[in-house]
Amino acid sequence: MIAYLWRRYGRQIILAIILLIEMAILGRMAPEFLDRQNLLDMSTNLAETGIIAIGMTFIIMTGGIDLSVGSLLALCGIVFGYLVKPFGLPLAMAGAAAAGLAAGLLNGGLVALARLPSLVVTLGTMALFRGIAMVVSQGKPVSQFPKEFAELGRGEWAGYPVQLVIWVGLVIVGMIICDRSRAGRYVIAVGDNPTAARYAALPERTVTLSLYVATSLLTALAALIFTSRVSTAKADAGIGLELEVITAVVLGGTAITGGRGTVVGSFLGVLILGFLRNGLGFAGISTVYQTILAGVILIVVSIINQRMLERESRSGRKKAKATASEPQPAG
Amino acid sequence: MDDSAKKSSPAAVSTPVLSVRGLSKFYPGVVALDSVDLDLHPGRAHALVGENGAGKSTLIKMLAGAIRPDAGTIAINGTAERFSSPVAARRAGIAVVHQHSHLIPDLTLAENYALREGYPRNAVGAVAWSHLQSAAAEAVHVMIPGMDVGRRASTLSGVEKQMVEISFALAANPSVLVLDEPTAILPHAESDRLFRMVRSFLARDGAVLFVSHRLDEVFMLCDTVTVLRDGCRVWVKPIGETDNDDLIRAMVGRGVSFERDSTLVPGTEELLKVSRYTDAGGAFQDVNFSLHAGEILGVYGLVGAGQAELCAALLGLRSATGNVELTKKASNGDAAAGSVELSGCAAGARVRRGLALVPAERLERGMFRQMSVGENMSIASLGQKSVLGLVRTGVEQRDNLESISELRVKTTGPHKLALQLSGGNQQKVLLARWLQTHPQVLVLEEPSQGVDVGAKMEIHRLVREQARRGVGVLLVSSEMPELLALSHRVAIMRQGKLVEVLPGDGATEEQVLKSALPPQENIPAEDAGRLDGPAQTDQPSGAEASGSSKIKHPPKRSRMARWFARRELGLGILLVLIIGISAAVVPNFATVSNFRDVLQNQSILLLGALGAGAVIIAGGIDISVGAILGLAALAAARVDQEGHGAGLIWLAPLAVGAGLGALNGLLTVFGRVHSIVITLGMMFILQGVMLQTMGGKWILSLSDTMTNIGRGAIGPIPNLIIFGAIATVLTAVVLGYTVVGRKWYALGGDAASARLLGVSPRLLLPLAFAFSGLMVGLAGLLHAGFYGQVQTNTGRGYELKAIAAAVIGGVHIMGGRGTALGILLGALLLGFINNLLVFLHISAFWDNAVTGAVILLAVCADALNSRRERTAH
Repeated sequence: MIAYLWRRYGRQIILAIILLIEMAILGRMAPEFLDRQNLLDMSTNLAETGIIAIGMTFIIMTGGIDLSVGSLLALCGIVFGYLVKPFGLPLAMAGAAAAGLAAGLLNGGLVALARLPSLVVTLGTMALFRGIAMVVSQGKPVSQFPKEFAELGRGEWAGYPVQLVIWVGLVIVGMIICDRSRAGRYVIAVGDNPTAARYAALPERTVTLSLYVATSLLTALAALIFTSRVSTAKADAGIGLELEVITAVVLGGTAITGGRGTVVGSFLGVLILGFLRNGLGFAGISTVYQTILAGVILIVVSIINQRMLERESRSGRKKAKATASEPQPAG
Repeated sequence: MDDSAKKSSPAAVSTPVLSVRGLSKFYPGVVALDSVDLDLHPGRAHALVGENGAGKSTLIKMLAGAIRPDAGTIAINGTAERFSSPVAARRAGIAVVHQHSHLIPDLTLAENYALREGYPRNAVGAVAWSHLQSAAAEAVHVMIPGMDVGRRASTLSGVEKQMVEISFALAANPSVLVLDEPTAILPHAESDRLFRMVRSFLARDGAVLFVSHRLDEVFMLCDTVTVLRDGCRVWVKPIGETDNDDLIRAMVGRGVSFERDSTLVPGTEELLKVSRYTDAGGAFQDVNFSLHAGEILGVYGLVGAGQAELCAALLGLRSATGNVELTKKASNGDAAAGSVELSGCAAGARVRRGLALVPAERLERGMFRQMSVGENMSIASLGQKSVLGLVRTGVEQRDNLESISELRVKTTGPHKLALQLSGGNQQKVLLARWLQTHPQVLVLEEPSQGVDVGAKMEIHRLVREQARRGVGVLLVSSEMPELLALSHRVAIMRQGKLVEVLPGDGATEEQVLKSALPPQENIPAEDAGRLDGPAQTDQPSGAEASGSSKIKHPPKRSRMARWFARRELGLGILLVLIIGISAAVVPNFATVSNFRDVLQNQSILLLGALGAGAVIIAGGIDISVGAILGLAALAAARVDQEGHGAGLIWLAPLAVGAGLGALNGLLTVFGRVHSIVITLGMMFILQGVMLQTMGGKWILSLSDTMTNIGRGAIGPIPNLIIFGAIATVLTAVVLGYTVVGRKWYALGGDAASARLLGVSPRLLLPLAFAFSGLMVGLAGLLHAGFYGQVQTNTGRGYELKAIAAAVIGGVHIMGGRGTALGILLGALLLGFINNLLVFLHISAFWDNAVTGAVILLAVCADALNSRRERTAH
């Protein structure tokens, strides 16, 4: 039972401990870091990355990847920006969501239905979405949004920033789907052993398609939050965002090769990386070292993860051999 | 176990060239081979016969060096050997022709030959390609006269591949030739050819180990025969002292048999009716049978007879024509209301309607390694156990505990990792999975594969119980005792057809085996080897039966068609088209200066694309090349600023590039982490290092040396274009003509087969990354020289453009495919499209969108092409 709990929640527990240690260290280096307002601000700014990371976790669990999320963020923002003046706030938001939906169907359709490799498909859509955003906006930023819109990015709910509440809420939903839902099991199965998933008659095409659609919708939401926060929609928003998201997900313990994953782990991964940036900044350590540290952490953690995975399967096989050589009781 | 009389051969017993003593192999819960002895003598052909699962494949794999024995010795010419790998076995003089070919699909036959026999070198040390061609042709023409060894292995038919494998084995001049079911898919003429070659091999004092189900061939070709059964050797006799019936008796005769249960009587209600069922891939034809409630219908067939494909087709995983009618599930005990035709249904729908398949090969097709026992059990029936998409874990737990106790799965609980269970218990978990779907028709494919006796009996008990409850069971099994003990009727498949149905009660193993074996051809020994044998009556050879005695050439696609389908030609045409349109539409387009500008602008990208292509071909990916470019440019600029000469200015960026590339490759290989993660982390690290080294300041003034490198020209041709051309040619040479380059294709195309041939990523992958780094290092130098400055964000976004150009150029992201020419055309295409957009005053903002669209089109074209190639064979 303990082995089971460790297997299920071990990594998240380690990550949480790492986060706390990190906060302690950074707090020693720069006490302002631990200021409640700072922590809140910091977390709030991470909401966009975090929300997208939820969807990306599932995609990576199936052994796929989505490189187009950064470009899609910009595109949804631009779509919103151009719709809001003539059509008003609700319709503009719906428009952004529709753009996300279309993007998700494109990605998902090509990957799940046409069975094309996700790396290349999303590489293409990454360029495509960015291009559409640039063409539509002609490179010019859009601003001057209605006042109510600022609520999304800068408002508060029960004393907490709106987007933080949304993010945490979505993390909880994602966690439930990942750990408790049927779809979550199917996702793990597809990433673990696609052949066995076929023989188990699982609806893998539907599931994979929905994942890309869901991630794109989450990206649309993140786009709205981001646009509201900075009060501007730009075509070059989100450059490099996809790599940040992927780094957080891998750091969080989801293997890039697919299989079991953890939404909570990705959540902690986003926080660990984000706090690192912010904290080091407070301590006067330049952004340069933050970037380097992020890279080092990613590589080291991945290698450790791999070794742990190998040790697990090796002990599994040894145990299987051991039970085989035990005398079998009469049937 | 061994009840033979040794040394009964009247001929002088020469020293055995291969001697196996006490060879054993154990798997969890199962004994694959138990203390087997075998002697092979020069000039003698030794047959190895036995049923499926008798241990023949295991023995062969050990001789081939693919798996290690758990006990026993293998001795060649008296010296005991330990084969650490297939390469070692080959070097020791054992050549094995397996049932399935291991040719690397994207390499030519000549290159596949080189992977086994080594690359011939000329006096200078470079690969002597023409020598290789002729050596490979000489080898292959022994079996297939006139075969073009320049063809890619993927374009060959299954028969041709097998013939090529045989020819490769013979070409190795082995002392021992092992043939594993060589004639299973060979039509008559090809089999004849094989036997003639084997005879001349024997005449040269070679030793042959011949594994076959075709007993007539055994009698025709071999001098001695060993019978294996349940992993043990039954006896070994000279061929003259045995006959067909004696062999069959030895193959199946057993002391232990399972008992029949005569109280189990099938019902009359027809649950499943299969008519005129024919596989789209040709594995089975015109199968007809019906399954009744409470009936256990056994299906027996030798490997390749089509029963595995039949199971997959019933589940809906293979397309087949014909009818499969399943009775509708009766709810609440009412009489079933008619039947439903399953042909149009997907797998999920069939399961919902009550069909279940427990597949063979549970590790590859059944078990989810990262899931627990409970999760593995419930995965197929979650639909019934969820509400609003959420799994009702209480219900799931209850069902799983019930399954565990009912099936007596030995586990500490449903939370245990499924992979940690023994084979027999894993099989029970798989069975439990499907029982939880409450099927009407249960198809079991090799349910006792790799399962110990105790678990076997339990599984039998469970099968009987299902039948008692009214479930119709289709039991596909190679284990005769179990088949005969359980089945009410036994259907026998042979070469794709369901040839006979015997009543289960009273059927003997000899009867079943006789029916399953290919029919006897009574060729007198003297006639054997003649190209035209006696007239054949109905002798199809498996799925690739051909009426004629000619080798089947690949249908439909002639050589010209293959050339046309090549990516490079398509790209070339597209490029000409774009240039043509531009020339027609834009007045200033067709000028030398414009062309020169386009080529110059693309040169830097081209270098990165060539490098990216090499890495992707080898099976990796490097998304840090942008950062490497920046650092290389920085290195060159720094060296320049410090006043060093041209030599160091050249050396620094190239060294930085190659070194960082190699580092990426080494981390990937030794960390055993996917290169995308390693290079992602590296990208962050290198970006940081660059920022730190520059201290936030751009480098704005570079010496004339640098500017000359970047902006100079030789005659009318700018340096950049010259470098681009040199790099393309260099990459083409490396990819097309060097051993390392060709091995990259093997590594990326089929890593598993490559490893069997001794191609390992340890050195090859870092070399590919280093090559890419070198290209990018040069690009960095040129970038700094051309733009005259190095910014803090130099190189950002470069990696993705480089990968895009490579992908458009035909490099398959999964590895193993691509050419330097294609990459060049891809980069040029992007350049000229961009150029056209600029001329049309279509804003630069379209650049990204168009690039993206081109990438997507390229990937779709790739997929269509591969699909067409696959179905053509």
